[in-house]
Amino acid sequence: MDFAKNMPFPHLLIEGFLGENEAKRLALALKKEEFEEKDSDLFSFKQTQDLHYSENKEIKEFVKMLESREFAERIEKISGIKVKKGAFDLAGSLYENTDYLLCHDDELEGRKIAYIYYLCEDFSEKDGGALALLEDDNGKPGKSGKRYSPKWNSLMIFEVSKRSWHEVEEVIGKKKRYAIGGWLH
Amino acid sequence: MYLDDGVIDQIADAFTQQGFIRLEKFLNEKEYIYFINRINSPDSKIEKVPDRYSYSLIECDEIIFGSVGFKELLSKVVGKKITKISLKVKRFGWKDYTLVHDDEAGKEEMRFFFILTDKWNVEWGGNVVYMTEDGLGNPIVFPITGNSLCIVKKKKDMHSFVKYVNNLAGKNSFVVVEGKIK
Repeated sequence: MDFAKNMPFPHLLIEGFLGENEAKRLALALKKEEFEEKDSDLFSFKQTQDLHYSENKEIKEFVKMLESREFAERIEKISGIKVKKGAFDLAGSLYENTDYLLCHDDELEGRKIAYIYYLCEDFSEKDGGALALLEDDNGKPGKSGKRYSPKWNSLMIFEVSKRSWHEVEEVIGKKKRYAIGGWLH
Repeated sequence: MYLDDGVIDQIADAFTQQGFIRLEKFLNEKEYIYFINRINSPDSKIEKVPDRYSYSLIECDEIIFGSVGFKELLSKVVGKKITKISLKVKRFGWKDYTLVHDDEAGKEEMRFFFILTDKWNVEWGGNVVYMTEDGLGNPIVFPITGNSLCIVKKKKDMHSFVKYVNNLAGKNSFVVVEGKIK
């Protein structure tokens, strides 16, 4: 469990992030949120509003947990990167058949760590939807370094930098890739 | 049909007003089938830079789009003498795309592209899209229709991309003959 040493750039997958019942309740709550189609050259998927504004009790509790000093300290301890308590973006995402997010680095002022909390059943290779982390090749994305298929109740975190090239591979078939994600500042 | 002077004048007027034009059934059926057979050769090279593009480049000496007759047609439509046309022939299948890139910004140029495909469904992706830099205004969307020629005046603040081709396309693909006009 070494965030800094993981290649192709610092990252970590934390399995069983929440208690099972808590995760199930949150997954149900997320599915009740309204998702809007997002479409550009880079992506095609569905996204909720900023979940800070959700009225749902389970989501409010999740937001409160992310806002806590304990969470910021836990992330700092894992990553060695100092994040501001309570400073984060947060939205739900849904990738269905043919949805994808092509290669980019996420870099934008203030973003320190990207996070994706999977609230979908486990995906296998044939389902697509994997998060692919690409190697850096002199400032450009290179070959695929590591790939992670979505795994129920697991939290992926990675450092945002000029070399944090990554993509969400196209979802193939009927599984729905629900997640909550954003950036810690 | 498109060699008739009256028709060309109408096309030129529409191009001047809109900044683009799409001509369906551009080649006659015999020419089109001949062309499709030629580009189905296996001589292609995968070109992939993940944050910019993915497609196969086809080596093809193109006679039609380098011909005097075609240059004359283009000259009349865009209203300027064509001295040089640089061509690239690209095949797009599942997982292929091009992304908007800063390199395109600030350049005003005349372009055309000709599409070849046996069959294509809009749900498979692949649309060729021109949009303004700020994302405001309606994008110009060219659907993938075989034997169609599109001529575009790309303004300085415009970007273009080819929408990701998704798994519904299966083994189907389309070919784009891209031309930059000088």
